[in-house]
Amino acid sequence: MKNSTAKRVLDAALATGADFAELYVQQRTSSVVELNYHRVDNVSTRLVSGAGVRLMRGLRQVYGYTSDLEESSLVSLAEKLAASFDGERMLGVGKWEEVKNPDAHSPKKAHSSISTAEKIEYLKAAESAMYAVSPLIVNCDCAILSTDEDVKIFTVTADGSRVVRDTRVRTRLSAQAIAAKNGAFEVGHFGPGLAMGAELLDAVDFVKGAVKAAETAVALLDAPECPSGNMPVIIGNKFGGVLFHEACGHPLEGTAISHNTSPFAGKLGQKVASELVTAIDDGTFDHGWGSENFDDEGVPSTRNVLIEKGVLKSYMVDTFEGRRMNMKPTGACRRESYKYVPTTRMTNTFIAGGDSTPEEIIAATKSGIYCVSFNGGSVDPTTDKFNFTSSETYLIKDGKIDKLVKAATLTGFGYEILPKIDMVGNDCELSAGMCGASSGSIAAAVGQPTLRVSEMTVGGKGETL
Amino acid sequence: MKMNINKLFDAAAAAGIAPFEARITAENKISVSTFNTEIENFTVAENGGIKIRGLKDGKCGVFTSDRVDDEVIDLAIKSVAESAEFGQPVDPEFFIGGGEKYEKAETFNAKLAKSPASRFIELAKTISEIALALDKRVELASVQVEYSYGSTTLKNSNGLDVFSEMNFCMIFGSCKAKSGENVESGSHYEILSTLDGFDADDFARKLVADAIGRLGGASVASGKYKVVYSQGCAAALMSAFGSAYSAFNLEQHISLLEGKIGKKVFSENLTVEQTPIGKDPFCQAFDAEGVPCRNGLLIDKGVPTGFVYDLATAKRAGVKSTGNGRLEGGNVRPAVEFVTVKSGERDLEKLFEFVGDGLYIDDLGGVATGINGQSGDYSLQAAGYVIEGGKLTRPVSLITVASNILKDFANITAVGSDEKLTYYGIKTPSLAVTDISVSGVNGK
Repeated sequence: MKNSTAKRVLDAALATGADFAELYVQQRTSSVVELNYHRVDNVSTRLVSGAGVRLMRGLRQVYGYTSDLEESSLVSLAEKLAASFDGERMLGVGKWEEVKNPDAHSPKKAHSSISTAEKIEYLKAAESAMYAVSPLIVNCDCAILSTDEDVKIFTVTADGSRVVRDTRVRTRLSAQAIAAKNGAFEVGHFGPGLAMGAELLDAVDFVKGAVKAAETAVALLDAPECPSGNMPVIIGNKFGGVLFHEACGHPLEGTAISHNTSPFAGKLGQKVASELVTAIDDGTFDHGWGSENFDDEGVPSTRNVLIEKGVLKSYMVDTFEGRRMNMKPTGACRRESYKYVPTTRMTNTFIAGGDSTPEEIIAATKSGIYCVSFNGGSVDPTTDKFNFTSSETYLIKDGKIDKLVKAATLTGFGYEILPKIDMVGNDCELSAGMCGASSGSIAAAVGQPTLRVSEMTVGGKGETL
Repeated sequence: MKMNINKLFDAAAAAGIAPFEARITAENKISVSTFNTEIENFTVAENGGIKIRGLKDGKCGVFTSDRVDDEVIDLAIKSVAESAEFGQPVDPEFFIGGGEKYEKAETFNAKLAKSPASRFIELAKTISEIALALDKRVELASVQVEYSYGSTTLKNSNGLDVFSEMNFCMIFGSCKAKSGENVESGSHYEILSTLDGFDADDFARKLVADAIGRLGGASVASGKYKVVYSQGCAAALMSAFGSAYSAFNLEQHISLLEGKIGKKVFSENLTVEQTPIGKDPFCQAFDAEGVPCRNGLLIDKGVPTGFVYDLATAKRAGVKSTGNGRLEGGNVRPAVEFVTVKSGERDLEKLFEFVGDGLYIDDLGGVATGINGQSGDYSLQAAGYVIEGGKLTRPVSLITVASNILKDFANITAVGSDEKLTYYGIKTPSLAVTDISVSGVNGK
């Protein structure tokens, strides 16, 4: 997209008094190489290409998008949006200020440097190893998913006319095994991902992770039901961070705060969690799955300490929601594609490490469950009721890991759980996930060290513990 | 610049890709949302896309793009050829020619298509205003009115050339109610083919009732319960079960219906039909391969009747395609289409009377992750109401429900008459089920 085209589009958009105008131009190529059913099942490419025009006037926002990038179509779209306002022009497009990109997450190895045949060989090693785990493994799916995205974001505000370019390269691996016995099925999954290129394939021991997924699926076949009731819950590191993501991350997003639909609204500076809890949303760290140089409205990504030693320090804010909140954006405005109005979203969100070792946390727990990995979860940000589903769960008895049990759902209010975190481990790690909300499905990492919640509601099918 | 489709087909032929197929889609959208009584967001969209498939040396390649102009043609043809190099062999006859007879799916309403944006704006504001005025405990209300139009043209080099279009309006409301320290959210939605007869007052009342009714919700004792699942909850379970009907999953021995066809394995109260031919927005006259869709039973009074097939699985099984091909990634796979669960004769109140004592669950949380579609097992956050003596007595919150979909289908004791079109693309009434494991807070 040429700067001159963007100028004509946004000049048309600003004709009726908008005080903010944005043109977001996206081109993303997503490729999948996937083995399934003992064969190469999917080698495909998808091109996502289009533009969105966003205008604001006070507390009103209008948005339009199209995959037709002809200038005449974009100007027509801009005029249609401008018709929503009936004021006089307040702003015009000035000289574009090109914002320097720190280029912090550049890939070392381009996706194009590795052939489809090489990818297939890489996946076959994991597939064979998974089938070798047990004859009870009836199906394996292994995939390499790679995305190469270029975005260009033009914004015009009273502060000037800026243009930001960002290149985002992400790679994710996926291994899933299905085990079956007597008509019952269980699933195991391994899915690492980072904002990097094909070097991820070397950085990850994919076969080892895939084998572990297959072993878990087989072991779950004979596992007893998870108990139900209220009990201490140890939540494992890495994807265990989905607890904070659901229970507290979403309610700390500007969307919920600005509309006063979050229990954390108006609580800055107040103690909302145990002193052991420091929680951060960090879109800056090198090659993080959710890292980007700029967010989707062209604001530089930041390291945003949300909760520090139990005290609420900050929210995640975007430009539009920030207007109601009287706060500046924190670089966490995101969208799946040009088809979505961007809004406040998480990037890489985690609870910082503490002092205890995972072994100490287990030893200190007389009775409860230990959730090592999870499928994911969801939250109602208004009530802060959350749920998430454990996929690898062990009983704890007398300070020791007892046995594997089947999946269960953990539920509660986020604001009630945070103060109940009574032990925090020293093994913080992050894990890749996809987060779905109003602005679509985006790459978001979650993370935490092993930690213990003194009491949580566990919805298993077994007897009350 | 728009894509010259003839040029695309010529390029495919020149590259030795034959047969060749293009699916060209177009969509329009107008979306309006309020924050209380003010319009906060307004979105318009005109979008398109193309998905092409073709055989190179007998193997199938695929490419998808939002961009539909001549500049994409070279990339598209190159990508299909590369994809085909590692693709699966596909029988050329699966690219069917023209001449099929299609039943009519009435999915496009010309009058709705002519509705101006101002109609949607007025509707959103009106519902919000009514909702806020109905009860002082309602602090916030947001209403989204979204009009969607979509069309698909499916053409191939063997002569197939079919077209479909659909439009509908989805109205979604959410609100926050507060009483003392107790905060609850409520929501209500309707998917409409026409705005004629739409009752904004009724919509607002249902929206507000959903939040107000939940205030003061408390847990229940953990144990086994008789449960009435609302239409939305029933649809979530039906949707997760959808892959069981796939003949492809049967071939892989990962279908939950394997070995159960023709046997009475479910409750006789359960009849499930595939209904792609009809007037609902999710109906369709042809599948991803251009094969005519048709209505038919999937479960007849508790007896699964068979699997659904695309052309490839049908040929392997020696049967005819049921018109259930769906493009998934780079492959066509059989997938169940618009599903309708047959209604019973009891309205919701009579269902509660029938159950006597139990729970009415109208909100399930975590359905994306808490249902294992492979095993049918689920464990989900739930909310709703206690049923005592055949009546709703108090709201229930913060519980989990756990069971298995196969077991639930066998344990359906009654089916409601309150059929609803849900956003799962499934039309279903409420269902009464026994033997659901419920875990309550504090184990009370």
